[in-house]
Amino acid sequence: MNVSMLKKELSENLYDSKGIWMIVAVSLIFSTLCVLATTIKEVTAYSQTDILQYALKSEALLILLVCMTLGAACFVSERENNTLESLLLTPVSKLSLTISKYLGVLIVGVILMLTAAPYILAISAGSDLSIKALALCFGPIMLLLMAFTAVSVILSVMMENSKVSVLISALCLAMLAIPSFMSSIFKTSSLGRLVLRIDPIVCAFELFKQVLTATFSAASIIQNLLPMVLFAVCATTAMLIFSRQISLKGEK
Amino acid sequence: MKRWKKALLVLTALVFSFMHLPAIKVSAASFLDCEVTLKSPHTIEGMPLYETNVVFTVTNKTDSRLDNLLAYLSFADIQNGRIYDDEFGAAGETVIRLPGLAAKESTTITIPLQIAFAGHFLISASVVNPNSGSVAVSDAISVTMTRITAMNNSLVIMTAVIMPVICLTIAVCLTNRKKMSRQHID
Repeated sequence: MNVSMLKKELSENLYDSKGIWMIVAVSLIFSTLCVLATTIKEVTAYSQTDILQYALKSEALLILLVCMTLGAACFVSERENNTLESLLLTPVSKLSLTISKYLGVLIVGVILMLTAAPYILAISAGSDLSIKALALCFGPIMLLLMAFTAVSVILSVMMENSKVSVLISALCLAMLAIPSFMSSIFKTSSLGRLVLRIDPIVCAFELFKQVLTATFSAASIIQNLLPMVLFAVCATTAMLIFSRQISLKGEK
Repeated sequence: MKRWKKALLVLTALVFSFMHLPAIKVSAASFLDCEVTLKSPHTIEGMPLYETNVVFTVTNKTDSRLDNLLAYLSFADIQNGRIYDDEFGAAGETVIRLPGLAAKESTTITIPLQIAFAGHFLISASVVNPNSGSVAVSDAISVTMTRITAMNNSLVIMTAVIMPVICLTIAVCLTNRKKMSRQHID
C-alpha cells in the first residue's frame, strides 16, 4: 500500500469531497439529538440504556451514510474528472489504489467515531455503561463500516455516474436498515425471521441491546457478530476482486 | 312588628322569585346533584411507566333519579403549567357514561391510569350531569413521578454545545491551511 496515495485520498475525502464539513454536520446532528433527549418529557420514561441504544443506532447510520457517500464517489468522480487515467499511469497497482481509497474513507469513518465518542461518554456518564458503549462504538460499527464502505467502493468501480453510484449505495444501506425498524412485521413470517437473523444491521442493533442491558451470552454474541464479520469479509474480498475491473471513461 | 312581618314576606318572595331565575337555578342545582368521593389512591409516587386504577364513588344527592351522568379524569401538570387530557393512557382519557343513578344511590367507578412521564401532576375525577350542566369534582390525587433516566443532563447539554464548536473550529482552520498551501503552490 502506498502511504502518499493514502494521504492524497484522505485529503481528497476531507477537503474536495467536503468530508470535513460532513463531520461538522454529523456533530451538529448528534448535538441536536442530545438536546432533544434532555428536553423532551417523553424521554424521562427511558432508561439510560434505552437512550444509549438510540444514540449508538443513530451514530451507526450516520457514519455509514457519510462513508458510503464518500466511498461511492471515490473512483467514479476520478473518472468523471478525467483524473483516473493519470492515476492508472502511475506505478501504483489497481489493487493498491483501491486499498488506498478504501482506507481513506475508513479513516474518515474513524474520525466520525471519535467525534461521536464524547456524546456516548456524556450520555453514559455516571453508569457502568461507558466502556461497553465505547466498545460497541468501535467494534460492531467498525465492522459495518468496513463492509458498507467496501460495497460503496465496488459500486464506484462499476458505475459510470457518481450520482447513480451514491444513490445505489444509499439504497443498499436503506434496504438493510429497514428490517431493523420493522422487526415486528418481519417476525410474523419465516422469511422475515430469516432476514432478521442474517441482516448485519439488525444483528448490530440486537448486539447493542443485549450488551447494554446485560442480557448477552457467548452464543448470542457469536450469533450476532457472525453475519457482520461474514458481510465485512465478503464485501472486502469482493472489493479486492473488483479492483481489477477499474476502467477509464467509456472503456467498458 | 307588622313592619317586620311585611319585610320578611317581601324578602321571602324575593328569594323565591330569584330561585326561579335560570342562572341561579342552575348554580343551586350544581351543588346538589351528586357527590364524587375519591376512594384510592390519594397520592402516587413512583417512576414512569406507572399503572394504577383510580377508584371513586358517585353519590346521587337528590331525591330524583339522575340519568346519563358522565365521569372523567382531569389532569393538571403543575411543573409545566399545562392541562393534559390525552397523555395518561387510553383508558385515562375516556369518558365513562353512567346510565342512571337512583335517588341517594351510590356507584363505584374504576378508571385505569397509565402515567408515562416524570413530573408533578394533580388528577381529579369529575362527574357532569349533561341535563343540568352541574359538575361535581373529587379531591385531587397528588402524583409525583421521578425521572427514570439517570442521564446527567447538564453534561450532555455541555457536550452538545462544545463539540460542534470544536469541530467547526478545526474544520475552518484546516480548510484555511489547505487554501493557503494551495495558493503557495500556485
